[in-house]
Amino acid sequence: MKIDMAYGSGGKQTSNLINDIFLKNFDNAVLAKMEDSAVLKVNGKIAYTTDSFVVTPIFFRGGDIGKVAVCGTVNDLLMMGAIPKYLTAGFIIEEGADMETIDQIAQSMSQAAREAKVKIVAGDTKVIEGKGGVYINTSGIGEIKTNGISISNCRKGDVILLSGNLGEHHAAIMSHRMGIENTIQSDCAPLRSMVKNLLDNNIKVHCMRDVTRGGLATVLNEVSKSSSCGVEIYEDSLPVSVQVRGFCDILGLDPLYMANEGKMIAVIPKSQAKKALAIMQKSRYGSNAAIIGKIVEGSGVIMTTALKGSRIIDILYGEGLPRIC
Amino acid sequence: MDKEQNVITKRIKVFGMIQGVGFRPLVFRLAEKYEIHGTVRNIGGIVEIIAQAAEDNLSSFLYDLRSNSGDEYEIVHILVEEINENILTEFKIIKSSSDHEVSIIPPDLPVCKKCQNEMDAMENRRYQNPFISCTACGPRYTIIEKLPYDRDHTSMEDFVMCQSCNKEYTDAHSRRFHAQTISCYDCGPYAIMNELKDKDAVKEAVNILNSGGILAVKGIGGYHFVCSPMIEETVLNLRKLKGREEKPFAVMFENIKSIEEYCIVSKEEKDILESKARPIVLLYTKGKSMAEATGKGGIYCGAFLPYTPLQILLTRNLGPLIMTSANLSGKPIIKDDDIILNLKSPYLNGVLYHKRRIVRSVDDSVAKVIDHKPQLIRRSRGYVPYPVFLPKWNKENTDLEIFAAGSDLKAAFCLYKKGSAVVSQYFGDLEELSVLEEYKSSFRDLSSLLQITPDLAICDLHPNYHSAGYAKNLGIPLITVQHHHAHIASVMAEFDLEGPVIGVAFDGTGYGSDGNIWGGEFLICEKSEFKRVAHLQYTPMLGGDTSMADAKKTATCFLLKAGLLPEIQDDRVPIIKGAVENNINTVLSSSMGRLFDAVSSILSICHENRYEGECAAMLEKEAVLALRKGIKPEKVTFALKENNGIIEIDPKPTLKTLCELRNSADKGSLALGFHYGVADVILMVCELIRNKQSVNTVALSGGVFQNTVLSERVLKLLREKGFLVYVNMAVPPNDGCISLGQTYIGLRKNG
Ligand SMILES: [Fe+3]
Ligand SMILES: [Mg+2]
Ligand SMILES: [Zn+2]
Ligand SMILES: [Zn+2]
Repeated sequence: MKIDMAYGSGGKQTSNLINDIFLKNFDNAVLAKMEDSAVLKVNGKIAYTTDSFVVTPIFFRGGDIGKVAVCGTVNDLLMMGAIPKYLTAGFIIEEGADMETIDQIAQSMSQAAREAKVKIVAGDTKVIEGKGGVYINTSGIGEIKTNGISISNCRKGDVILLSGNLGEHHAAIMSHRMGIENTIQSDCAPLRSMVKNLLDNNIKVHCMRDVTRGGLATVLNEVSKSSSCGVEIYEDSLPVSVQVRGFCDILGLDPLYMANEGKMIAVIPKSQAKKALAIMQKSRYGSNAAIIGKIVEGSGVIMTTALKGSRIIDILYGEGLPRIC
Repeated sequence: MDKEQNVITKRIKVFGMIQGVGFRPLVFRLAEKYEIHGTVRNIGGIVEIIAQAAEDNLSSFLYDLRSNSGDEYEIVHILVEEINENILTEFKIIKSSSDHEVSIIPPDLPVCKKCQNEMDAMENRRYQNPFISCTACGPRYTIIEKLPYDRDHTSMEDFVMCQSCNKEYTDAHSRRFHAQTISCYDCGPYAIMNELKDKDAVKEAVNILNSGGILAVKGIGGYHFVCSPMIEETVLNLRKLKGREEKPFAVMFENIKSIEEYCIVSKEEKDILESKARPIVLLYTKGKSMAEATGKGGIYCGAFLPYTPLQILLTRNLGPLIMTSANLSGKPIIKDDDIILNLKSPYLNGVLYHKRRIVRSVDDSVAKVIDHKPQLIRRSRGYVPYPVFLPKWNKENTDLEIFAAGSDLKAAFCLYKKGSAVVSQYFGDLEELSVLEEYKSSFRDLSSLLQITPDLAICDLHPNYHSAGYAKNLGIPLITVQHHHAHIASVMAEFDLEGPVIGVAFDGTGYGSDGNIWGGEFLICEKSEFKRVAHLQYTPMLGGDTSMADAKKTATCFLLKAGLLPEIQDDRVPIIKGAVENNINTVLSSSMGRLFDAVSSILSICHENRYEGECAAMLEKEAVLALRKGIKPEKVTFALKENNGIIEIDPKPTLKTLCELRNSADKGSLALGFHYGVADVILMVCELIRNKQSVNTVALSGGVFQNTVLSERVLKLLREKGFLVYVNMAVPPNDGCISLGQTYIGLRKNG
């Protein structure tokens, strides 16, 4: 069954959509009350964030827009040392979208929420003219577990850990758009257990950041800027799967600039580097975690290449723009 | 003769390459000869002479000054004015004054004939001295710390002159009168190897090289790695020492005769080999061959002659030697002793050095002969920092001082002041951080040396160029210039052209004004403006620098666009196709360099550029061999169409012919045919433009024109049809010319 403008009218069809899909999938007591607002109980300081999700295609190997919408917001909360508690979800649906598609998205959101131990406690739906697209906004609240984790908190000598292989989400999406059959899957995942394990084991995390759009290069540049420090990474140490490496080589892509949906960096004191790495590697989604670099004097991001050269890693401008003559 | 009545006084200002070449002593001797009283001194880079004598004597004096030019010094310009002056009683050299005139710093000079003779004379006190020099020879640019060029402003200040040297230094009739680099066995510098000194050190070095070892030897602008080019294993070890270097190595020969055993040397090539700059000259190989790992199967040998006394001693004892800049994988040439002495590698068997500091590093220059004229490939030692004079701008823009950032590959910046544009030494690829640091510190160095404080910066349009980023951060007014426009403007700068000219800019990659990748461009250039009138048709290509080096992938992209897919055997085709069709990480390219790559791959000649231009060089090799064998070129053509008033050159017919014939026809005839086809289409397009716009002048620039077969063919065709054709002479046609072109455009815009 296709969704048409009537589903956005606020009338019966709207309430069908809410009951049959959202209430069913997001099943929890707060939402079920259907009040104008969710009334929540939280302890101490909270972290609060929002993000909107636009992904084409909606379904891809390793995930879909719903999973990304939950994981994205959950991970943003986690990066502040907050344990995610509640999410809200707003849907903008273009007419012509399949009811079944929306149901699948909601199911996938519900599953991701369960894994991340968050409740989706409020929501909204609008239907607009279009070609069957779906866009999702999620907001989230998390309880701060550890104070002072900040992108401006990195210190010289700190070590940078990356939680796993680069570029998988981006490569999966691109493969889909090109109609290429391969085994590359999006890395889309909530990083709750990894972050919790680090914090529970008293790792003095100075900074965490999820590595999403713009890739590792962008995140590291943000670190350098906010903490007024230099960042040094080693090309040799960057984890990239064989499949993604091959895919990138053909397309001329650089995994450093590719989007991920379930990867983070953690910047921690050198003394705890080994312990932290072991914790990451034992955590779910962390088996390929690696120490990739360190915080140094100076400014900007410098990579020591496999051939012992060094190059500046800038923020991406103009995808794939070649420089060489 | 009634002296009182005929005596007049003139102030003579001499511009040119007259610093550090014994010019003032020469003026002194000339003054003696013609009984002239007065003074000579350096002011900045100009020499000022006050000359008082009878009018006839003054004329003779000026005549001699001018007519000697070109041998040991080079006068560009002389200004003479008559002044009122009291009667003077002698002629003397007076102390230099540095004020704000344009400084002309001499490039480094090779050992002169006279010094070589002294080296060979057993009774001479500098017999076989590795540092012999005089006013006409020796290092200059690489040892000068600041102007004026006096000994205590150079790294020679570390050596105290002995009494004998001091006597020569102060004797106006000596060849070493005021020779700032004067030295001998007593005062040093000394050749050092391990614990050994001078002759013993050289002997030890000879022994190690003789037994197949690799040495680092200190030169003028930096260290060289040196070894025999004949021993395969040694040369392979050298490649390991340098780290993945794939380029053919340059070889230094004792003399022309020795070169001729291995290479074909024309009259013009001999002249450049022996010129003051002593560049590496790319010569066609013949006869005796060296180890495979030296030349890497190319048809060129980069040959050059010794320019330091130490190199003379080594090549004399050992014959041909690989002499390649001592650097590691893409990093700058090493110039400091402590760095090379601490370089731990199992492949380096020793260091032959001395303690005369190299103040700034400068690589060897590279040149070749095209159309019987020298063409620079890399402009560095021996040429830098000699300016390119832009005479038109000398007066009009007296105050504007410019920094032009150049390009990111083959980076070289340009500093401009009062009609002289100083293009810096070559730095290499700025992607490597240490090269970028070198570029930045050299800007600070050279601008302070030349006393230039730029009030205008110019850079490339490319948003990701490090050079452009640097220029933007200088905090002075900034102009951006399109890459290929700068190519053509560099030719206009060299020949003082105002335009309109038909600029043909063929290279690998440049950022276009429309955001696409250009490189097969026909531009009408006039003054500071350009208009794109024709280009190689756009082909979607995969992005990223690594894709650009992958000729097989490039070929696939071209064939996809031309609808010739079944011709390719590449298991990556589905992904490449998927990317191109879905616009994933693709760019639109009109690059002619890429077409050369593609053709090289289609003909199975070379599939990858392990170093810049490898595929094109190997393609050219096949064409050259075909020419030598008298093989007829296959007919290869392009199609022309017009799109919004712009001519688009479609390579489809070319690709079709090559694909159809590649398994049946002779490879050489196809390679040659392709070169001729490109030349033909240049002519066709130029004629179309001439018919429409009545422009008869053509300027060629861009790395593609380093190709001898193409360049000579296209020059011939264009001249036959009455075109007036200009190509780069003072700077390379590759990106080494960009900063000069940028400077020209900056001046035009502000003129
Ligand atoms: Fe170029
Ligand atoms: Mg986010
Ligand atoms: Zn000499
Ligand atoms: Zn001496």
